[in-house]
Amino acid sequence: MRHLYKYIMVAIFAIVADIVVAQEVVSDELIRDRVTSYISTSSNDVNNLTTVNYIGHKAEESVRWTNDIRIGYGAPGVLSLLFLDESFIFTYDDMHIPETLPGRVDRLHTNRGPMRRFMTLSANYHRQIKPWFALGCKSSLAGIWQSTFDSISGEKRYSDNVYNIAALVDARFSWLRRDMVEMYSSVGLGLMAHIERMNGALWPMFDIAAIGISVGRSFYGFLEIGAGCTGSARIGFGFRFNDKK
Amino acid sequence: MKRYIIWIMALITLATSCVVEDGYEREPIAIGEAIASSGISDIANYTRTFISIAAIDEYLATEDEELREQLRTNYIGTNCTIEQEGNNIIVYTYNYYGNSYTLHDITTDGKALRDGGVWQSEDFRLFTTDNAITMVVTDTNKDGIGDSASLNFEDIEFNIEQGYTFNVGGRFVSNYGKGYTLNSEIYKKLSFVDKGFVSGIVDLRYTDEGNGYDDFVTAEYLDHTKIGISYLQYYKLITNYNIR
Repeated sequence: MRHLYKYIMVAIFAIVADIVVAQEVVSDELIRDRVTSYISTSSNDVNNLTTVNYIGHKAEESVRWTNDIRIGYGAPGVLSLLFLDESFIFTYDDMHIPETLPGRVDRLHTNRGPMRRFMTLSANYHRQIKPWFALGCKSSLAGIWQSTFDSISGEKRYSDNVYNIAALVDARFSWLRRDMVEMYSSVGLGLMAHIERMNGALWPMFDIAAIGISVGRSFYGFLEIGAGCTGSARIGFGFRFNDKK
Repeated sequence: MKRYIIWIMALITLATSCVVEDGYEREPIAIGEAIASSGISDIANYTRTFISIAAIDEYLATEDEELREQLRTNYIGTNCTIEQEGNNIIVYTYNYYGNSYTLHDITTDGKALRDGGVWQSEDFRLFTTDNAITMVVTDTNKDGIGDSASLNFEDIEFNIEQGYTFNVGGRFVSNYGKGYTLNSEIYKKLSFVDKGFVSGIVDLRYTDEGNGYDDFVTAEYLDHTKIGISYLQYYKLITNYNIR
């Protein structure tokens, strides 16, 4: 948790970057008007002038990209930490249980090496059903690696490698659609496998992106704030493409 | 282009956050400290018990009410009553709320310890040998877990002004079950003066059969009077840590 500030800084940094880029896009009024179909243009052959006709209603929007693949990296969230490493919340010392000599000596006989947390890599695929709705699947991978050494000889005794692998069905709702900018929310439900050195478990799992923004066309970057197995703040990039005709 | 640079920078910054916690470094001396403090505490606890028993012996032997009162309040229990019914000696202590519990429930052979008597309680057996009183600590519920000891308290002197003075020898075994054992052997007799130890050396050996630990520590009692406080467990490690 001591590096949490890094994630917060990165999230702020990424949000600011997105806002700056998004401002550039939406301030181009001509692009905005074209993609939202509020206006139509036609040529006047007589005067060789282009006139603008306001059609007065929104034209029916079509699905621009049918497939969407993205890869993201999420900052740890409380939920993902809790499920990955229960000791993050309650440590032995926090519980104030008096230790017996065997427990003390056993604990002192070992040194724990640095803990490496990798959380959370996610890979998603969505198929655009409607311009505002996409259905797909989301997968995530998170891990903790920590080795334990003999405090006398320094030899490695064992490693705690813990993995969380999740697979979810995900529904994404795009509530702001522009040429280069899309804002959305998503909700996913599925299962998460928790794999430890000694045992494993399978839990129901969810993932919510409360607010997500993607910037780009075919190739794009995205930022999401949410909760669930893919972490609290996620950034990444994606690729949209259409089916071959 | 600017956009891609921003994203790449953000990803690199995130990647550097992967190592989130340093390891927990522990020195081998910490193992020795844990073993020594535990073993020395075991011996100290039964030494305290012995002082209480010796005071009961004094209490029953004397008819000086002033001495009895001092023994009762200073060496047996602050709030206690001593009842003797035939060969049974029962010592009750009272807590703040007036509730009582049994401090000692001893069956004797009718003799005082100083006269060669044999005293038996649930936890220990006391008997006199030559110039010493030997305390044999027993595994109360016979489950193989608990303390067992044979501690000899020698050259016992009592002075109402200075309290008890004696030497302690013998060995003490704490059995924690499941193959965990702490064997404390008094290598050089402990000298107890004025509510604390002033010298003596104890060898302590801790074995954990399950993990294969066999740790050996030597600890020396220091003179508690030189540090100006009454502290029964003032010691230092002589041999920090050894593996046999």
